[in-house]
Amino acid sequence: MRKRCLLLFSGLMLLPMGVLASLNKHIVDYRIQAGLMPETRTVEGRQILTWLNDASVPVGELQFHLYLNAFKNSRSTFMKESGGIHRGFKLGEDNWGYIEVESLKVVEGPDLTLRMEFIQPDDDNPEDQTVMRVELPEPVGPQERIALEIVFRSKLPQVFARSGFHGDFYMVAQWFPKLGVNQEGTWNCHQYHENSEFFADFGVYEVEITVPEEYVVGATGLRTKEVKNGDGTVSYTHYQEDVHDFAWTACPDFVEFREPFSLPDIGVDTELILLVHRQHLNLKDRYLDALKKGVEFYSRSYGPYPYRTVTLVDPPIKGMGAGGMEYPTLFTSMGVSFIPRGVRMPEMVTIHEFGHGYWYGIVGSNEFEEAWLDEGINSYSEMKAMDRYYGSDRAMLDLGPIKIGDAEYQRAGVIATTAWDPIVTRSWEFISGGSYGISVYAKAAITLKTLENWLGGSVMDEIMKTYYARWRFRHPVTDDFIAVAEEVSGQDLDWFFDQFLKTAGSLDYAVASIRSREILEPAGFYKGEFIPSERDEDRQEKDADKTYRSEVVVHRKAELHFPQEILVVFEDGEEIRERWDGRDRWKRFVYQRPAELKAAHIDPDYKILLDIDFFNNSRVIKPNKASPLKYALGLVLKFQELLTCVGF
Amino acid sequence: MHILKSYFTGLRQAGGRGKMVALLWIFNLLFAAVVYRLAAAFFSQAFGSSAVAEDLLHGFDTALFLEMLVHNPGPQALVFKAMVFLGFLYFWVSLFLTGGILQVLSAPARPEGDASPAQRFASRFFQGAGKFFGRFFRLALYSLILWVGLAVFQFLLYTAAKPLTGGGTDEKMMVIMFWVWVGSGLVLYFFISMVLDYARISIVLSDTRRVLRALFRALGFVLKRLLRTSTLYAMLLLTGLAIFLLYWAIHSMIPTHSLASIWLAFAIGQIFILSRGWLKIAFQAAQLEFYRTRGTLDITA
Repeated sequence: MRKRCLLLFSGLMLLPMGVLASLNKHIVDYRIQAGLMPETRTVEGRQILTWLNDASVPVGELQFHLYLNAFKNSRSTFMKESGGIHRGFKLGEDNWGYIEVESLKVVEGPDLTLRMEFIQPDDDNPEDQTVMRVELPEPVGPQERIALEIVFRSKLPQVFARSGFHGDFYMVAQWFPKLGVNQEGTWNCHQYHENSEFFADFGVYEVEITVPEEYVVGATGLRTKEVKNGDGTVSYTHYQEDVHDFAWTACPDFVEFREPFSLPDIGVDTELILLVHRQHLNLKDRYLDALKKGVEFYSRSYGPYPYRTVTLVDPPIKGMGAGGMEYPTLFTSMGVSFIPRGVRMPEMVTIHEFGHGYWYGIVGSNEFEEAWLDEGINSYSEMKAMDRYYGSDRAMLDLGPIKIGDAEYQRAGVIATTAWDPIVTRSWEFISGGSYGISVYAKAAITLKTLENWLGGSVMDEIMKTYYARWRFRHPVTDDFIAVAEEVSGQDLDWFFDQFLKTAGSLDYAVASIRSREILEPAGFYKGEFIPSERDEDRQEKDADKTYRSEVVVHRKAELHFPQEILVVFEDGEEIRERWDGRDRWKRFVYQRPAELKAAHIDPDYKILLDIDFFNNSRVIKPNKASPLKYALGLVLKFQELLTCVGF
Repeated sequence: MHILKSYFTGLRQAGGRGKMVALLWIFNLLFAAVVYRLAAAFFSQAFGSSAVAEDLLHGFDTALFLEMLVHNPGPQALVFKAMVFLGFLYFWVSLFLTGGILQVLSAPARPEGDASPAQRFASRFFQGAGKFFGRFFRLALYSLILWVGLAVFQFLLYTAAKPLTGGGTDEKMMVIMFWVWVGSGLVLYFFISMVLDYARISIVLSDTRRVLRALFRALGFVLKRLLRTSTLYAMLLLTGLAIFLLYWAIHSMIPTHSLASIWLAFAIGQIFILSRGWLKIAFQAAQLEFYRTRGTLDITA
């Protein structure tokens, strides 16, 4: 593998043809040469990094993420937290990965290699080497730049958590020394945790990737150059502005499909690139269709997709640990050749991961500290896209009578799980991976869906569009989202966000009791005289004149509150809709009507998806006997059939 | 031709054993009644007084059903545990009943005596059931050798298939091997069931207490006539499959949205359960006929 030095600043500002103009201020500029060595599972790299100090104060040190060191040994914070298992995938025995920074120096300046040291800002685990600090010989002043030349070697782990290899498949992600984000003189550079993803500044990436010729390569950005080196290797150069990361993949078993895709009315003009593993060629059309739906949904709902390419990577079955992950303009989907059409995992993962291009890629959310801003908003977006294109009752699963939509699926996860943590919690401070997953993905998504149902679809659409437009290519925090929501809706929504984003409680309203009694004529000793009770026959004769006193008691069973609508239905078909602010523990509604009460429903349209129990949302005077009987006899029949198989 | 004769004899004999079919159905229903009590209470408590019941009546809703399971972990566990326990118990009861079936089917027609036909049937059935239960119990224990053999074979097949699938990377081959694995498991399951059927027939016909010997004798009998015994077994299985498909087609046409239609669907279900009892007897009668006509010589030889 040949290594060539990059031309430095002379080439930095020259944009390759066909790349969009800058959309934001470039804080970082990475020019990297990388060579894949399949025999040693390593990537040899050399990078020129230029960093702009955008703060108003001088900065005297730099902090880098060395993510691959999470897989260096069993003592890293990631391995301690995860036990070597991530999303069900396990690290193979002695298939460690790491990154070694061989040298680091200021371009045309001093060598800083000896100044490198590992730090542990999150947990003081001295054995964690995922963050590196370098003290600079002199501070970088405000709006000044510094250029560094870094030589590194990345040993890839067997893939189980996003990055690594399996067989000939390589997912080269989080693979180079990467600067943290400097916020007014302070570095935001967290260690790599089991539950955390990433955060970085926007900038320019130009990466030359050299691999053996038989490898098919996909990478962030537009391919600007392809050179056969004459030694059995080929070098591909990719360039992309306005992104905050760069990932690439290589595998001889990929089959590449390219298709232009445009939405002329909103200015989308991009190329869809699919790298489908040979084993899954039958999934190509499913992936492509879902990707088109994703690009269209996000472009029309939030803003036109701004990049010239989007690359879908389909990992092999044993490389699934790399699946379902997003990088700028490139993402990994997930599927196996024998997955039934009614199981829409490839579609859901494709739309979800593409969507991250918006809420992680373009809106640069801090996934360490407020992962919901990416995962939650994106799960909400995915839910809307999936339910729109595939049916709200069958978007996720459509297997005969077994059907479930995306919103239903996400809600099922939430109601089945104890709420331990607020949604807004730093990723590594969740009690468990399960709590992190449910909170920042599903609970956040149904929180936003509940907000949409409360404010109305058009208001919510406007909130999302405004938030995207205002915060694209910037780093928002939760309060920025809340500010946009309040501004667009014109409402004070603190009561909503304080409860559902910032506390760990749950929401459950029930119809506690309903009853209806006929109001009889006075009987007994009444106003000084004795009045005998009416006989039943006499009462029936006066049937038309009967009056009933009906009572409905609604109950706030859990700690959180939400304004409620209550539908009260009478036997004569009359319906009354009541409103309740939902703050007290309970409320009683009393009616005197000529008809008996039939039923009462709290939140009758099931708008409040955060309510953890829909079964207690309603109560009827006359219990439905047929429905329980249907299910009981159905179960009994299945049991009887089973018994006949056991023996008879 | 012996196969066809045995097959039709089996069907005919089963057709003439209405009391036995009814008895098997009653036992099945008794076990089911326990589950019904628990399930009815569970479903009534879970959603009987909620308006959700109306939605569930008009169609199965996966999301609502999942929610119901989430909110009622205790009652659903109780129903599940009861089903597992009753299923286990039913296995032994079924073994007991098989003795009665074979006793009745194997006994020669007797002249009219003092007892009524119903008394004669009950007496012969339960006498046989009681007489052979201990031997069938031991047979079930000995049959563990065969079941363990099946498990070992399946494990070896799985292990041998691994290299063929490139260590789990060749997905097409994985699918093929999966179905080969399922197929071989089913074939072996039916093979062992058939051997045990013949072992029980052998025990009843020769009234022997040497159960292990009967098991090996049945194994030899089947292996010597593998094609014919398997064909007969497959014909009976296909008969069962045809009945099931017919039942399934009829049952799925009934919209269970009212009390009357729910009961109608259940009643049709009971006809299917009765047909399974009939088929069980047909299995025993056909194989008994085949064993008598093709196997007697081997037993006495």
